[in-house]
Amino acid sequence: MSSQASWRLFAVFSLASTLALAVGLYLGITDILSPSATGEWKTDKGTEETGKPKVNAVQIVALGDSLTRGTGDGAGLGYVGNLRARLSEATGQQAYVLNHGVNGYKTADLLRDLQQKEDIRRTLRQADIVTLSIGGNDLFNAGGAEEVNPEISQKRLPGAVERYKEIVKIIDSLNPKAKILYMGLYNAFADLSNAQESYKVVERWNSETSAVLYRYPHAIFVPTDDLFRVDGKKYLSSDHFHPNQAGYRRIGERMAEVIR
Amino acid sequence: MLSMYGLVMNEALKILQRKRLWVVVLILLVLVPIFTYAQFRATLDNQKQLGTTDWKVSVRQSINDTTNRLSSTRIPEDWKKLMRIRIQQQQYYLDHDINPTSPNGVTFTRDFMSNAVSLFIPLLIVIISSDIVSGEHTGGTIKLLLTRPVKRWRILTSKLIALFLFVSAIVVLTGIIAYAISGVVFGYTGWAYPVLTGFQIQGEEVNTEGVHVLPQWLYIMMEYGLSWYACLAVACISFMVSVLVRSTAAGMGVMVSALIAGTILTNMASAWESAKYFFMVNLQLTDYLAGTLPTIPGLSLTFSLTTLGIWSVASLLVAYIVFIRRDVY
Repeated sequence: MSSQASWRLFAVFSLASTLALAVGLYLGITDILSPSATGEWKTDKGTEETGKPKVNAVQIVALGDSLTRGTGDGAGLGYVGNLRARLSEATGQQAYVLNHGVNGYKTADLLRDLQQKEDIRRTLRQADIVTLSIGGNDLFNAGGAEEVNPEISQKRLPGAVERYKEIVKIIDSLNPKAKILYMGLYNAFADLSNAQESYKVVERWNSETSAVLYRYPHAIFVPTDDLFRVDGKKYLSSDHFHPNQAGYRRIGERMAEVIR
Repeated sequence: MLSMYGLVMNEALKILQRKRLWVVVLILLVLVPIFTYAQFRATLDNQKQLGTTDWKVSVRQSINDTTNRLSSTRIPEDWKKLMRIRIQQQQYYLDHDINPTSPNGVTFTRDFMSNAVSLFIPLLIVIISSDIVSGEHTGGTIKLLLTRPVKRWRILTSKLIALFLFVSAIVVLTGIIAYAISGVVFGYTGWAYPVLTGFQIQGEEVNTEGVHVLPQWLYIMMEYGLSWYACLAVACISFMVSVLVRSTAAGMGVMVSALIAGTILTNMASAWESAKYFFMVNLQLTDYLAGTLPTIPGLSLTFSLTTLGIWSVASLLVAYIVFIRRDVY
């Protein structure tokens, strides 16, 4: 190409570019400085039909608090990850996890999510297994650096059970076929002086929630308290509250046993 | 006396003959496929983990992950603020059924620019601009240039105009190459896909009052226009360096280290507010369009535009004064 021709080509291209960019810059600045609510809302409802994983796969949806999240597990699996590994090992099927667990969640938070967040409700409709851990923060964690006080816990318990009933009811109404696995509470405070009182709280919570679950044919209460009775510290992480890697593995294994 | 048109043509041809533009294109042709592949792997990996292609599921998972990281005590408060805002925006996308990362070539073109504007594209600009004056010293042609019966300011102006033409060409070429290559993998559709803009950040809350929808093509046009402004500022500063430093390699080194210092500062200096007067931390103009929180407090679109403008004008002043007064031996 002669130098004249390449100059012309270049000049036309860059002048056109300059013009387009200058217009873009002007539009960009005016749009940022004075946002005008124009333009129609064309939306994307998401791929409902392809949202369901392939056949021959198990979809696990995990709901709840930091225990569902797997806080304290050095391997980063949590009981959900362990459950998933066991399941795909045993059945030879792919298992997928959608983890909706949020650290510090209480029954009220989870209930609000289930009532309001449509995308969570949708994933629940497509689930084969729903795992649930909730209640620990309602009873033993007020958000601050509070001493464990079994008396206060006893007072909070009835309200939490009421919300728990609602939670299970919503899950069942969204997906009556999915198995619901609830992770029962364990007593992480067995080494404190008021261990007897905290055991009573845990025992009462477990028995009342277990009674709720019996009303639904697919809902199963998975006890965990016994796993931490002997040498419990061995299975707790350094925060003395969440399980550690071994603790989560035992819970995950037990859940896999239950539905095998 | 040569007309300005002739002078600019002369300068542009010099740059074209030095094959600098081809180096830039070549860099893009090599790197864009790598970025495309990385993006492709990330998409695949995400689908494999979640077992679904439903974008809502992955946005929800992303919100959950961020929410949980918030409870960590090891994360500085400034970052938490950023994370909270990110959560609110993602929730807004979910509530309005708009996929923030619709998988197509156009979205890639958009994301590519917002990632490249503060370092990658300015580096490409520096490749061209760093030897625009100093190259004449290296080649010994400065004497020929200055002994011609043309006023020095006219010579410098013609160089500057040529440089601006190249800046425009590079910004647009980047977009074209990113689109052409990523489209092979992600498809060429998506120009009309809606993008949300107009998020205003007040303290820790996202004000969604001004949020509105733009078709993706218009958003890209604005984004590239803003990046172009940042690139022009880089070009002006680099132009001054090219006048001041006679060695091209040294000039390039100065610019590269200044730009990299900018990315380091944005990562570190959230506590040091006066850092906002550096030009390097103001290059990320696209963030104002996306509505993400500026990393250094006190930054706003008007502030960044003004700062970059002042830096550019000052650089040009220095460049002209030095160039006109300089003696050549």
